Amino acid sequence: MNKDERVEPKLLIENLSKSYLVQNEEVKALQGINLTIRDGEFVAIVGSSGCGKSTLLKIIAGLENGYQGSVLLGKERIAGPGLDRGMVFQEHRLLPWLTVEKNITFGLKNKKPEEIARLVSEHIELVGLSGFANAYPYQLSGGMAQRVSIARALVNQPQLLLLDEPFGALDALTKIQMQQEVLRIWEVEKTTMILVTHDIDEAIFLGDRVVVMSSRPGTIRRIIPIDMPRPRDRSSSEFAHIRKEIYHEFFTDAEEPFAYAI
Amino acid sequence: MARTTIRNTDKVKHFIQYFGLMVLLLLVWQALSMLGVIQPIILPPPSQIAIVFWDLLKNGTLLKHISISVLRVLEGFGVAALLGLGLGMAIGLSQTLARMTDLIIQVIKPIPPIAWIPLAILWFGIGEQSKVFIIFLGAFFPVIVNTIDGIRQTDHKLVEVARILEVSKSRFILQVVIPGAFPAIMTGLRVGLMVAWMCVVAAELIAASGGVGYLIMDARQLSQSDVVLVGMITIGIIGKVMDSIISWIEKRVITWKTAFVGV
Amino acid sequence: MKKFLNIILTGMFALALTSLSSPTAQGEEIRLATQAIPAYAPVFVAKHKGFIQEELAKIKSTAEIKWTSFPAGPPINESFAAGQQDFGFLGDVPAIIGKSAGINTKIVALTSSGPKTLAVVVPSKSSITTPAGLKGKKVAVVKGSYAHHLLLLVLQKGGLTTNDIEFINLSQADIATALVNGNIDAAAIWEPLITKLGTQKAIRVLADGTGIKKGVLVIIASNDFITKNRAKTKAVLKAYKRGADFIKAHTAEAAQLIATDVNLSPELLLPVLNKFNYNLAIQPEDIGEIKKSEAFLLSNGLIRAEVNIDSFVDTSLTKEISSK
Repeated sequence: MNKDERVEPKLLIENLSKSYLVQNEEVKALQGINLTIRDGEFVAIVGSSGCGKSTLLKIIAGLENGYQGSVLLGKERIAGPGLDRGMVFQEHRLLPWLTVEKNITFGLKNKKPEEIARLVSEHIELVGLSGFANAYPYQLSGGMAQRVSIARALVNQPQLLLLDEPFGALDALTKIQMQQEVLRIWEVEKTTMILVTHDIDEAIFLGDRVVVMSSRPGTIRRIIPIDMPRPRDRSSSEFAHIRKEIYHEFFTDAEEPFAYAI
Repeated sequence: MARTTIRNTDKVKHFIQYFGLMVLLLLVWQALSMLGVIQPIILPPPSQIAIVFWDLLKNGTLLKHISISVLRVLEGFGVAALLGLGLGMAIGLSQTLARMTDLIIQVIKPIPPIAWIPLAILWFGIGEQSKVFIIFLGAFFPVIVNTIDGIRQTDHKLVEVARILEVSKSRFILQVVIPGAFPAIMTGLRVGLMVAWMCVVAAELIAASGGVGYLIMDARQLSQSDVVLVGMITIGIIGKVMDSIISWIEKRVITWKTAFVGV
Repeated sequence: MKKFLNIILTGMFALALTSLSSPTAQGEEIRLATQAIPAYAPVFVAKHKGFIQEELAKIKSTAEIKWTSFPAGPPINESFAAGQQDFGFLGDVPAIIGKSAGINTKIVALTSSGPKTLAVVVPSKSSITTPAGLKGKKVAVVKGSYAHHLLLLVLQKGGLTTNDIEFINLSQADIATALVNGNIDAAAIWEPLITKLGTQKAIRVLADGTGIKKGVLVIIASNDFITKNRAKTKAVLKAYKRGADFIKAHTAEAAQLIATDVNLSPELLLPVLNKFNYNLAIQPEDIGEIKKSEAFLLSNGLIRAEVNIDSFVDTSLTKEISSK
């Protein structure tokens, strides 16, 4: 399936709720989530731990079922995982016994050898790892491994790319580098992306919109559109303004920390 | 300049640590024997053992017995590996099969191979088959238990990835489950081979006419403690060699792991 | 610190070893190593009739008797080597092997002899009729037993050596199973197995010791014990003699008495008791037999150091007993 034939993915989430049974007590992870995501959008979901943002992502990925409400991808109700929704996790989750090349190949299904070769080398280049095709995961740095993970997720040209705190395990400098990488990849591939993070700056830097979630139960407090042109200057006043706005959603004036440095 | 000197003394220190204790024990043992504190029939001195060892080696007896035993061990281990791997994978991959076989495995596992000797003789007679059977029993359980564990331990994070990528069941088993289980499987094979070798003495209690276990039992009948010790030491050495070979194979197959070597 | 630990460890090791070599405290205990076979019937008679206690009482000793039963001679050697026995009842062949290996014992008496009490047998359906027919066959025996010697002598009669057969080392119990199952072609065994299997019609005797081996069985005693307890040694031997005399005089009653000790019903035991000569005294021709056994062991490489039989055998004790 090439990009032109892609159906408007319009991810439509209506009144989504999900509860778990924890020691015989019902715990509501998500409550009344409503969200519409347009084709080619980059949506960042931000919230503190336990707010259900990862659960939301997993439901979209199809890894969690048993929810109330509706989650539609195009016109289809999401009922399980599939190649149309790629996912990148906090751990790279590469197969340790396969090379970079073979790991990305692992993501492909039912393709002819020539196509496989082409797609794999394209995507190795896309994530900036040319020359590392024969390296094993244990030989790569955290950032590089994550890039392979992204390549694997994208090689099938999915309708959605879901990223669950993808840079949480990386050091601060690599994190910024990877954020720039993802941005670049998104601008090339134009895949619809949903990123879940607890890093407010990351959300503002990357997202067309930032969805702010509150916890227990997880609900959407506010959706903030980010109209700034990219690449965004983290030290600009507009950036700071939005940052402050989002902060207000989490902390009252008294709790607001004075300085925030990357 | 100073750095190379430190490295050399380090090497010497390691060498001493490696062999030191054993050499010290041997010297004390020899001394006690020569002083008459230890009687030769109870524990022959290292010098006597060395002489007997050399004699048996020179006239080919030792090598003949070693090859007989090694052949038996390889046969028993071979069958154990095949059955253990095959059944282990089937049980690891199928919940139903696991539930059905768990009880049988847990009950039979603790029975030591030696206890099977009477049945082995009744079922297989006193020929090669009964001996190979005992060895097989020894090797089988480590292999199957570790194989099952290795498959059950498949990283569920990778399982999620496989689900998202719509990986077919066969590809999943071949490319995710089995390679992931390799370390555990190799451990099982390694332990299995060791136990197989240790069982050779038990197996050769069954009317053997050759083999290292036979050598020991035979010497026992004739009150030849030195030959008994030569047999024991031979078993130890061959066991170590086998272990080294499997370790080497393990390293070549599992190239993606870096092992923890110590603080 | 490491060096210190090393020294402590080797010290402990050495201490542990020394405790292995010293004989365990004897105190007021006399330790007998027996085998549950009719060859040693007198000692079981002595046990039931309390002869040993009586003889000990005569020399004002209150020593306790500790009985241990073994399946064959070689395990008795092991126990002696560990310093755990004072008297042993076994064949001449294992006694010599033990002595050659360094066990400090002396042959102090015969227990019995009887050329018909050991034999080379074949399964009853076997086609083998002469010793020469054993060529290339599977033959089992307890290696290092006096039946091992018989086997060699029988093979010699057929012009064969052990190289001409498949020699299998098996315990008496396993030999019984193997003969019945037809897993082996022949075996050299001793009573009561010969009678047991014979009455079951499972075997046929190919050749017994008649004319070739008298089947001398002996009592050995640890040299230490003899030196320290000469009176007690004689007491035990006297009790054995009384047991032997009782069997001679009241064979049927003896058979009833000790049937369970030797795993044979009284009816079957009776003829077996008659096959044995339970004479304690060591005659010159007995010493000759023992010397033949020693030569057999030496020439077949079963012992490495030769044993001087004349000094190994101590006839003084039995002479003192019979002179009384």
